Amino acid sequence: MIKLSLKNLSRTFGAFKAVDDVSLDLADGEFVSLLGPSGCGKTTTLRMIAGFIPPSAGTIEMNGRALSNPASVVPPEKRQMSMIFQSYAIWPNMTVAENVGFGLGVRKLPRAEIEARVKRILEVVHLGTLAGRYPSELSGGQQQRVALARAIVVEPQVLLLDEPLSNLDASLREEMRFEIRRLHNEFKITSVYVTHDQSEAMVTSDRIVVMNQGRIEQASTPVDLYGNPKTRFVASFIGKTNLIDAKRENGNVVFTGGAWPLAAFGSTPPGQNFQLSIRPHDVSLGREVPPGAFAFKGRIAERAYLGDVWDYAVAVDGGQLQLRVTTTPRDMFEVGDTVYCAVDPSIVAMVE
Amino acid sequence: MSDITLKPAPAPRGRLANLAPLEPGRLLWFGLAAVMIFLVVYPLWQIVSVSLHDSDGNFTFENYAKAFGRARYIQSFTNSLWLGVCACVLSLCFAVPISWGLARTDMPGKRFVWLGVIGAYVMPPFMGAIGWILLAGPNAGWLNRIFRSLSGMDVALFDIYTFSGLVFVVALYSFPLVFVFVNAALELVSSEMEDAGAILGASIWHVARRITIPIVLPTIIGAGIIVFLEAVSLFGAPALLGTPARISVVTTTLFEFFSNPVRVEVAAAYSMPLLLITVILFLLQYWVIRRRGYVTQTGKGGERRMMKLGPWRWAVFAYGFGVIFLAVILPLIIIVQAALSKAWGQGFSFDNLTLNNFRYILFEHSTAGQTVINSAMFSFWTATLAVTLTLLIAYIVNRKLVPFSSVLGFLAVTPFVIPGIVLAIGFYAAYAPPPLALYGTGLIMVLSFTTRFMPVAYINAASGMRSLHPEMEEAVRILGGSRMTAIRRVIAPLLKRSLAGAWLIVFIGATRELSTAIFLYVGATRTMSIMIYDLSEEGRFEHLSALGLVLVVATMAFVAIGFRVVGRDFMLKRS
Repeated sequence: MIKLSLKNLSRTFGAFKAVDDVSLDLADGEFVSLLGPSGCGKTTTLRMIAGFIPPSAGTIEMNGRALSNPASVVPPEKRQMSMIFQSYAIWPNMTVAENVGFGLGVRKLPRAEIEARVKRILEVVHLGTLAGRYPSELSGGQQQRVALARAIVVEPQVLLLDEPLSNLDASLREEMRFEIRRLHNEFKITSVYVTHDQSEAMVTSDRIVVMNQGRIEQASTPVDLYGNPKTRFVASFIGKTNLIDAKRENGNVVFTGGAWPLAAFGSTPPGQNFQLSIRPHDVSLGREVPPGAFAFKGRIAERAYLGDVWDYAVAVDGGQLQLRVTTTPRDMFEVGDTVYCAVDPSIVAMVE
Repeated sequence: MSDITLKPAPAPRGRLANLAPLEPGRLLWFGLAAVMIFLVVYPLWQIVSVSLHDSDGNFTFENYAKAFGRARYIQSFTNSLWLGVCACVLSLCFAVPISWGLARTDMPGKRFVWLGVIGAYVMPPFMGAIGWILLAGPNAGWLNRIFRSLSGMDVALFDIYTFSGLVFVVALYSFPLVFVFVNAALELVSSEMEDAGAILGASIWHVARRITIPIVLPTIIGAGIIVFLEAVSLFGAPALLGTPARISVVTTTLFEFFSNPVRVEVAAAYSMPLLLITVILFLLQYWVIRRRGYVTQTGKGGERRMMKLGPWRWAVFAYGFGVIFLAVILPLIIIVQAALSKAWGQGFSFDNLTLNNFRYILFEHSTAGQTVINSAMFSFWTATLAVTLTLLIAYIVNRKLVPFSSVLGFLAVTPFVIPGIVLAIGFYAAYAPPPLALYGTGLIMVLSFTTRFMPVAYINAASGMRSLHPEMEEAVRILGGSRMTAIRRVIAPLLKRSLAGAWLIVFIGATRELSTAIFLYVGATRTMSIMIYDLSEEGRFEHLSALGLVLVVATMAFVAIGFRVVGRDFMLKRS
């Protein structure tokens, strides 16, 4: 069942197209991330869903009912959503319990029920003992949990998260990713999560929507997005990759360093001219010609030892092509060594 | 370990090096300390001391008995407190909705309202009082005359010579103080705080009432306390409005003690509880803001967007316009009318129009022209002295050049808790008698004004100094420049704007200073503000309005310069 539906949504600020013809359906209980670099329109999209910004074109529907179109917008307070903000926006003048109970108070629930529900949700986010504290007496991670509890306790139709972890330090950020996913598994609230951090999106989401310059580049599961990127932007934004110009010629894929039969590849080319995306760890290095014909011959141009991996730059074809290759620490080569880079074409993606 | 801790600590060589006899920082510290003792410590000490001695120098409590021995004096005291409380509440009612409208909403006409608040800030309270005498005096006041001619009833609708009239006028000219603080605090609240309420289902009013205003409540309380302090130490408005109605307050009673015969001892004793209250409330205000001042999470996502009020935004604008209309527009219209009239009571007719009042006051009157020169000179020297002094103090305090340097900073803000009139008593007690015998000189005016405005100047200088990273200066020194080179080439140029701002604020404040001046002037050192006060006692409102207009217009010109030089934050900066 479709919970939330964005149809041809656009938003311009003056001449600038912040969001450009975005369409997206969210299933009930689905956790979707909007992922992209800053300025890609993800936060604007989120704020349109929340009702803080009206769209310039397109509509937003929830449960089949229109919420936003350019002519009229249901105000945020009438949308039965909740949101977690970058700055948490924990009200400093209220205790933890008052913060969390605020939305229930607005919904005019009886006091006893508010108290019971606040108590229960604070247990869930491990803040049971801090109910009477003021926000200034909490750590960053605890404030983040208050924000989560405050958003979840009202059992919103849709939960919106706007880069909620960007103000936390690295280790806490990692912990909170799993916490957010755990809470989602427990409450199954339809969620939209905005982030520029791919690992955050991968840990938390059922589906990731990669955005660039106001448009959706690709929307898919984390596994599919990484393995089968459809565009150059997605291939290079999600993880590292080598992009090689290629074209289709007489049943072969022709590129600098070789011409391999199209049949050997696992994906279909998106057009006449395209690029191959080869992940650095999908390449293996050896001193001998590998069995099977799919290999490049090159020389080690640079190398860096990172402890868990070797990071090599291999100059192929006299330096016309440079391949980044990561290997295990045991695969040791010196700069200047001649090497063969073996690639399995069936896991090479072809992107626009 | 234990034997190490038992040994006497080695001499702190670094400290000792700092205390080397010829270290310039140390010399400067001594110089500044001497100046501060002269300006702050000794006058304060003299108030206490004089209040406890009789005219022959014997220790006594007699002065306190005299000061509080009469029911009337006690009554003045409770009047002052009640005036403070009422003015505080009313000015909060004026200021808080306007601050909210300007800082958080899409109310129209923001620039206009903002300029109006500056106008109310710039208007000396005694000029406001005079404007309202012309408007709402029971017999001749314009509002009452209009009401009588419209209704045909022979009653006064308003009477400004009442306690509520006094409260109204005091609040009308102290609300900009609240605005300065509350507006600054509201501007710091991130919009996400409000969005978080909206997305959970709260309406705009619910959000304002439950979230936005409570977040800045500590600031509102602190600002309220400041208004209270301002109201109880005001002299001009209570003297103009209260005295005819036989309502006396502490400051007017102190003035009574100072009229012939001068009883400084009794005045000193009488001012003691006022001083005590201001100190306590100031500390309370500090504590409220420190303790309950919320540090809002800013950084990412801390931007501010204006709330959309829909049609209500016109209501908010109307409220702000109403307050400004009462505080600035209406009184100014009436003062301009009086200044251009042969007789202000005859109204807005062409026959009544004249420029004679300006000619008379500026060129023909025996002393009025001199008061303009006096005001300008005293204010110039006060501003120069205060800014120079506080810059040096701020430098020493900020760079911690010598141990105990922060004592100087503390002394520089101490005058904040001394009502102007009490400060004047201190200066009188300390420096009127021989050997210095400064009473009646311009010097004592400049020195007392300098003390009075030192806190404002210091806060500006210190905040400017804090914004300069010491590394700016260290970079000069590592490249071979001396400390003086660093000050001359780097620090002074960087602080130029904020020092110019501080200079202008002190200058403007000094031109309108009344409560300190009125105790220390003699004929030759009379200032414009005293002249205006004297003219109002004689009932010469046309001349007074002309002189007052000169003062107001000159002040506005300086404020305009300030905005040019310093930018939008000038005057309305939270300090």
